[in-house]
Amino acid sequence: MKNLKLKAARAAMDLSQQALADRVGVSRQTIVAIEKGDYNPTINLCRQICRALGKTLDELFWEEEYDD
Amino acid sequence: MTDERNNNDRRRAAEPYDERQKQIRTKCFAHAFFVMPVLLFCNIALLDGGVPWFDPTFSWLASVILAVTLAAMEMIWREAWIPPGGSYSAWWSVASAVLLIIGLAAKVADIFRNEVRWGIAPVENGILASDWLYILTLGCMALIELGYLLRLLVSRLKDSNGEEP
Repeated sequence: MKNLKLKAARAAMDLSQQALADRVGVSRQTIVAIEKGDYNPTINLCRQICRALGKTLDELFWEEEYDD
Repeated sequence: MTDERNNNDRRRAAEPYDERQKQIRTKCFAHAFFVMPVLLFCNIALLDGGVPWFDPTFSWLASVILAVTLAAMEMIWREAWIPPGGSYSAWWSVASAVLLIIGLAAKVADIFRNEVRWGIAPVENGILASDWLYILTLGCMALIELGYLLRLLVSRLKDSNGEEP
């Protein structure tokens, strides 16, 4: 499933995928894969992304359908 | 932010592949590992079939070279291989050129003096050949060169530039 929240947060900060990848310390293709939903990052990588974008884990990686 | 970038650069220098790339590389090596028995089975079938042109020693090496080439091609396609210097085309072009020069020089110097066929002959008159140069015959070098060209083709086909929409 695509991670639109991540994409929106990145766009809100006017960051390119490469720029976010540089901040987090991964390759651009990894950011692409996460946004497209092709790769599930580890919790450490999730935390690094959240720190880079100034968001919480819930804001970027929690799915509403889990709230049952 | 500068400190963070410096830390990331140092980390990437020490460990160039991120977690996703490491996962993919592991899978690619596993694919190569499981391709090997298939190729070796084909070797056995050809050997038992008595195919006249079949050279078993060369084909064993060819199986290894092919498996490694397939793994490398998959890694390049899935963007899990970082070429030295950052350029796929430059790296494979240089590697191909070096191998071609070595092959031509060896041919000119007539290193493969006795066995010019497309295979290796580790055994001569029932005695294992001690000349290690017999291992590197034109056949194996040509196959490695083909592997480099295939990697170059994959890297050219793979468009890894530009932002995703």
